[in-house]
Amino acid sequence: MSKICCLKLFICYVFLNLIFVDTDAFDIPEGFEKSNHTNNWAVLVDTSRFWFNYRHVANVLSIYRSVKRLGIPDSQIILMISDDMACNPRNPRPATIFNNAHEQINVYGDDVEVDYRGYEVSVENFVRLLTGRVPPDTPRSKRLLTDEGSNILIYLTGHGGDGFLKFQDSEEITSQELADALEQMWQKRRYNEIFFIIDTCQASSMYEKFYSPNILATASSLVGEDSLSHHVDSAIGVYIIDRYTYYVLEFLENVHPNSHKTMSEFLSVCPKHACISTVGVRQDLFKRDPRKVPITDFFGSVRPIIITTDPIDIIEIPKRNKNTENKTTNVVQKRMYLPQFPVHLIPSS
Amino acid sequence: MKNNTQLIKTRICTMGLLSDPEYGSAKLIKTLKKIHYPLCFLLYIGAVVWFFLLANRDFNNETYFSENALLPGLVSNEFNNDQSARQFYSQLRQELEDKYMDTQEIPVDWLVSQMSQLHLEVYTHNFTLNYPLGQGQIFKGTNVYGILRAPRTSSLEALVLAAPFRSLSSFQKGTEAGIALMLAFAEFARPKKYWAKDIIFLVTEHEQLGIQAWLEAYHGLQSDSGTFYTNLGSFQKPPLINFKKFTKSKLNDFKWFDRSRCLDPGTLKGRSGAIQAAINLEFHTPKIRYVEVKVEGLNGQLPNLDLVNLVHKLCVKSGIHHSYKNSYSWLRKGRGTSTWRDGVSTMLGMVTAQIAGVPNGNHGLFHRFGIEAVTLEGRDVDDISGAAPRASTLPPANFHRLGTALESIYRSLNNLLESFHQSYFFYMLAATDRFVSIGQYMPSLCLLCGAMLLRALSLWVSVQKDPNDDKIKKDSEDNKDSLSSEEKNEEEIENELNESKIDDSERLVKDTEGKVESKGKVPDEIQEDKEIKKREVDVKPNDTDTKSGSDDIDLSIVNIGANFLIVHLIGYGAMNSPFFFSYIGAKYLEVHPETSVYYGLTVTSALVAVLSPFLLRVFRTVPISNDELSVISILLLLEMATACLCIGMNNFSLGFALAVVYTPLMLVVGVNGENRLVIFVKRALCVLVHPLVALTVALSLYSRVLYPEEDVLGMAKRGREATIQAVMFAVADSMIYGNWLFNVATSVIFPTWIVSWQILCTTVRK
Repeated sequence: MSKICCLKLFICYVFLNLIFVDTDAFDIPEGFEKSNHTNNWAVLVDTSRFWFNYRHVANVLSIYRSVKRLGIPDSQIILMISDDMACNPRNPRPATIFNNAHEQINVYGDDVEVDYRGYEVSVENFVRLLTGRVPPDTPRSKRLLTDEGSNILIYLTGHGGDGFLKFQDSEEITSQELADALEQMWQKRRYNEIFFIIDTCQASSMYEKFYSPNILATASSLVGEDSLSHHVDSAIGVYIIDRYTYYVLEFLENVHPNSHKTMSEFLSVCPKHACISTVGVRQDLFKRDPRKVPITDFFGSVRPIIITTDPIDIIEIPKRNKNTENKTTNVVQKRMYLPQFPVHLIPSS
Repeated sequence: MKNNTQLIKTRICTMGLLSDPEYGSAKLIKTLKKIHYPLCFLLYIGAVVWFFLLANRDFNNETYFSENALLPGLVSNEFNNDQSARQFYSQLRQELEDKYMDTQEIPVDWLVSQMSQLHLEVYTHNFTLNYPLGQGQIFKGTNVYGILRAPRTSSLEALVLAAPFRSLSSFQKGTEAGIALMLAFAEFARPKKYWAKDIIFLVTEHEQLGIQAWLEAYHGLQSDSGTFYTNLGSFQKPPLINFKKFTKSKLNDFKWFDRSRCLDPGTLKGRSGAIQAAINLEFHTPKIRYVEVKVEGLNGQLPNLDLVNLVHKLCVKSGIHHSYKNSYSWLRKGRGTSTWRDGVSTMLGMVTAQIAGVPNGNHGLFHRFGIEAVTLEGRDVDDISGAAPRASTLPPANFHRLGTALESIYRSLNNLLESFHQSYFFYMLAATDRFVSIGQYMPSLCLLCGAMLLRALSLWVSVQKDPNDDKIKKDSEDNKDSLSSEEKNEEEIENELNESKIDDSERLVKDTEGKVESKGKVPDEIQEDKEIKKREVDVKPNDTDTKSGSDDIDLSIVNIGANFLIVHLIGYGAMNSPFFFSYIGAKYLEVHPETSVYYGLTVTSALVAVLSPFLLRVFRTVPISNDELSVISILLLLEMATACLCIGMNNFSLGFALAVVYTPLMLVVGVNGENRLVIFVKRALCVLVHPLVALTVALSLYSRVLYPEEDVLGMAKRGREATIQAVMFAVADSMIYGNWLFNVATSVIFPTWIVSWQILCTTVRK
């Protein structure tokens, strides 16, 4: 046991089969050791309630599904949904939420863990969650337990205006409040980097006040523009998803844990002719070049890695079907994830 | 103070208005005195022009959805129960022909059995009407309703789908197709799992009476609860005086009308939640050509514009032609005079419907409970309401399309989260898709009332004495012989202009305007001006004689106030009189209440017209002065302007129509001059706008339009008959439903008419 040498524990997105196949060409990527990035979190918030805002719930659940598929575990996803569309009496498909008129994927499937629901989704709870100033009896599932190594994906959707985002039809968070909350997070060393996505009307106004470092922000529309919905599901009778999120999902569906896609590709995911609104990007606070940042820095999850130069007898390679993705989208089938740490691959002596 | 204790001498000094030190010499006042007549005339014309301009597309707006939650027309339609709708239709007709041919009754058993078979919660509801003018006549009726409970939520909210039942012998179009469609829709909706609100399917008897009783019962307004009518703001309550005490000898069995005992709504056995919207169906056959959307409710109340808009838009989507008054969806819309003309006729149609305040469908009674409702009426090519252009070219509709439209409407209403509140409640429709908001139409009413207020202001400043004014008059009096009044006017203005050297351009403009107006005046108005001038001159010597240059004016506030009080009491009495008249008529003369009420009111009016001028002269030792007469005119103008504005805020059409008719009278009423012809014309105008006379004339003219072949005598006869009926309807509506029209006519218009008649019949001797 003690014979295993050069054992280093890193946190990154390199994948196991890559390491085992290319043992000869093993090369630690540049910046790999320099990075402080040790874990990934996601905060996904839908701020609007009521049946006619079905699309916002579909938005946020779709993003939830994608980040979960790309490897962020439920324990590190804070999902805030302010209304229960699945159980709305108007829903002709009870207990389901779809994000597409074809109704192939029920995004409200078995594995959805909503952390804040209904009236718990409030400005106060949101800011407390970000800054970590939660009451002591708050359960772990409702805390953002990040540290200075955490990359956080923040996704907000709802109804916004110039400089504010409406919560629950009753209160708003202003862009200044949000910027201050992020600054507080930075001072409390609660993040390494933040990728901020917002899909509302006049969305870019929300990130204009940011002043903390290491934040990459994108918005579905500029100030003065409306974000529009993509299409109607006439069987359910609602606008089912927003344009920006629709194209984001279309992009994310082709991203796999081992993809080499970069953040710059993500930022240009919805051109003006598709979105109708102009997608806004703010990268002056972000130190790295988005063209070199892999998308999995925010959407995937870092796993503990053992680097070894010794050849390893592979006892069993889990078969990876190329078409797995399409098949796992089947509603009936329950999806499984690879274990977080593939201990079974390492021979124990 | 003189010996007379009743006379209170009021000192109105030259500093009168707001203690403005420059008041006495203000040019503005002089200008106002001179130009207020042309200005009032301009305001009047401006108001009418404004109203007609609103029908133009450039001055009104396109309708739009204000409520996000409605999500209109997003669902794909699934209604395919047209086969069963046809079955219901033929079954119902068969049932009526078999069993209900000779009676007017509603087929309760059939409806209950059909609704039960659709697995609705079915209830019946009985109500009773003690006809207030019928001397103990009682009408009974039954409503049938079935509730579809929302499958996945509590019964907190509900939608209503209603249809009135009309028997085969009814003179109105039947509603069998509407009831069949309703049942088919119930059959379609029953198994659906997406309803978030209960749907109540309601068939009512006796037209509006049934729906009124059902709504009152639904909202728990039993006949013994006395608070209902007070809550709804009705001002008709039994008088506080115990009538019995005075009339014990003869009318011992006379009981004063108690409105709460009029309609006994009974109780409902089954209820649902708060009703958010209602659709009323009036389809006599499935093969209608187009659907008329009726919106006007009780007292001109309108449903929220969102609902009206929703119905129109979803009719378009379901491929049903629809119309509102003279605006037809299938006619190609362009810009130009034809659209404007259609807009004007549509708006005028709406105004006439709102003036009467009578709901033109069962939807109209929902409004006062805060429930938005419209009626969809199916119309054929040869509809009794008049033929629509090119209606014969339209393909007939069928149950499938109507059901689809109904499904879209109800699924949209199902999405509502709170009751309609987003869009306008006060609006006029210029077309099916064009509307005029309250902010756009109120200026026309305000201009009319502004004319009256302006006249009141100019009278007020004339009442106040101004030494400078007198001086000017003296100067001008010297020239009086050589100059005609028109020239004098100009001369004065020019003098003033030269003397004061006004550099204020605005004032200059005003003055020149006044000049222009005075040039363009009709002789009648010049006469008026002259009269006022003369009066002012007349007043002066009186004052100088008795008070040697002091600025005091004699005013008997008590006399004026007492007169006003008595006149309004007469109005209040007239408001409560029909019940009394019908009683007298039935007991002693054995005539129909219609006749007795009409002739009772006519005799009252005639008596008042003869006696009221003396009211100003009794109880006083000193003869009435010019100033007092002016003050009465001012009060009259203020009352009329305020009343029109207040009525217009609730029912614009009624307020506007009153203002249009009565503003001319109010403007010419004032201290009378010497010219007998002018006085006669004024009195004739006054008689013409007496509520009863105006109604008779209007209905005679209308009958002339309907039956152009008849001679004048026949026209008058028809007009009289129509008036008798109209008065009776107004009285009964006021008593049963709480329609304001009769109350407004008797308690507001009648007293103001009396006062203006008094003024016109009073001449002040020097």
